[in-house]
Amino acid sequence: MIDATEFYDPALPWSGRADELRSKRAGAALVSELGRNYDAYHEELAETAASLGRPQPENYTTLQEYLEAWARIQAVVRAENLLRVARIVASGGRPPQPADSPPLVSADERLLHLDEALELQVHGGTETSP
Amino acid sequence: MASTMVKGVALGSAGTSATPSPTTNEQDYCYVGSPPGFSVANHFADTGTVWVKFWMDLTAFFPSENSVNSALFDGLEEQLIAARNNGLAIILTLWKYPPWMNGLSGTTTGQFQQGDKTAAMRIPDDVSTTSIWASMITCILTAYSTGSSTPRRSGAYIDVLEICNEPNGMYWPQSTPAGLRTAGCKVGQMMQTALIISSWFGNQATAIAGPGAVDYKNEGSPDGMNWNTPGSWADVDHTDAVKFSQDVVASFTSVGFVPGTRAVFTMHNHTDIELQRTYVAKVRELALRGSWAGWPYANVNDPHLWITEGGLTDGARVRLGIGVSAWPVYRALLIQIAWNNLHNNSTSVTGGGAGIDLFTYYLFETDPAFDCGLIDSVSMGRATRPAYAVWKGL
Repeated sequence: MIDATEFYDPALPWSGRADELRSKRAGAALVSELGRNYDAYHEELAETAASLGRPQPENYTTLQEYLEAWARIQAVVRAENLLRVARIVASGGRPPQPADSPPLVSADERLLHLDEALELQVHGGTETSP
Repeated sequence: MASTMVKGVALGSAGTSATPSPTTNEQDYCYVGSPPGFSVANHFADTGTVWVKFWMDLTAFFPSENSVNSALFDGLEEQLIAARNNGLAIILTLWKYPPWMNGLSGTTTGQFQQGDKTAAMRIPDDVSTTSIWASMITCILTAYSTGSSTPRRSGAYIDVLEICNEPNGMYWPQSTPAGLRTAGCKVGQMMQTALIISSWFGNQATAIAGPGAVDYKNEGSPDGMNWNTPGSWADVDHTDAVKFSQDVVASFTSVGFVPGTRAVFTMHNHTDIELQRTYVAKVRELALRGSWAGWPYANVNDPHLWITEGGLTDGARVRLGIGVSAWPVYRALLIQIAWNNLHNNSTSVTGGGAGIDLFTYYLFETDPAFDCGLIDSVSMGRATRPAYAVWKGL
């Protein structure tokens, strides 16, 4: 059993059934829902990440707006990380240690599906662009 | 690529967190004392020390969510201006968290929470760009970044903001109850957030440094400084320096966040000095090389790191079995060996080599409670120790 508290964070862009379970604070059911339906939730997060893009200071008039834009991106990436944890837990596995975790974002800044990330990790293709 | 290691000295935190009093506080950069000409500022000039590290105790500077301790800010700024006027480069290191910042309101900062760790050492849960912690970073960078349009005081700038202190030994939690390491990842997120905020102030903005990790090595040894937890790289009190650093780096690379040339990876080397080893060089080889695109070139094939604190206390003397009378000279010798092991392309058997660009010693005037200094404290008579002469000659 994992601590589901982090999954309740309102900043996380859960949708549909997962959002309902979050509002009920139904931790086990929420983790199970996310884990069993990883592909669908991942697809939504990947689309959100692509639409947001990487914030650049020159595109914002205030520091606060700039930081809020980054917070939205950070929430999407954090949601993907939790989604992976949910999938691993749902399949009976144990989450990997941070240094051993497969990449979340590709060099061209796509949110990676766990299977693709594992493939990149195996073949060493996780370099990021400067 | 070869490097030229330069010298820094960290002054004690009392110099900035006690009520400002440069006339009586020997950890204050502006302290003069006696004899004439033997000021703290002169120690830097006399020894060729070009970096100074100041502390910001967040519990003292930010006592509540809606107020800052202006007197402490003013006192720090006097020292920043004086140091800059003398040509020094400046690191400001943050440590301790007030309860309102780390979610432990209702506790006192000194109250033990987990083992020997106090409430002030609890890492905030939220370190995102819109967190309370980020607001504090924004406040500091607005005050002291060279790119700020609204600095607190003209001339009071810092070159580097080190966002934490010894998080793999001082902070908690190190891991989840199930054993999943978390502290390194959290510190990596803190560095990202600080880099994002700093980027707002432009390309020449303040560099962001971290993690300032302790050179802990999980290998069970009789020295008493290390520990051995079979099958685990972390326990309730420590995380191995290499593993911790790998977690920090992974928190960047896993999300495609390139640290960049304004991100400085920092370590402490107290135990390396004591044991004549170079575990910090192992951190560079095993955690940074191939992964860390940070200062100075944003090149994963040539990552550099800085040592932002190291020193030898009387505890080291006891562990090494050195007599009191022999210790001053022995300490000086160990400092010389530590420098030699890391400087330029050293090929000493203990490791080392290029890529360690700053070696910061902890304290000129010593702190009797953490007796590392190169000079006796004022209460001891303020005599220079053999280590001072060695430091000057490096």
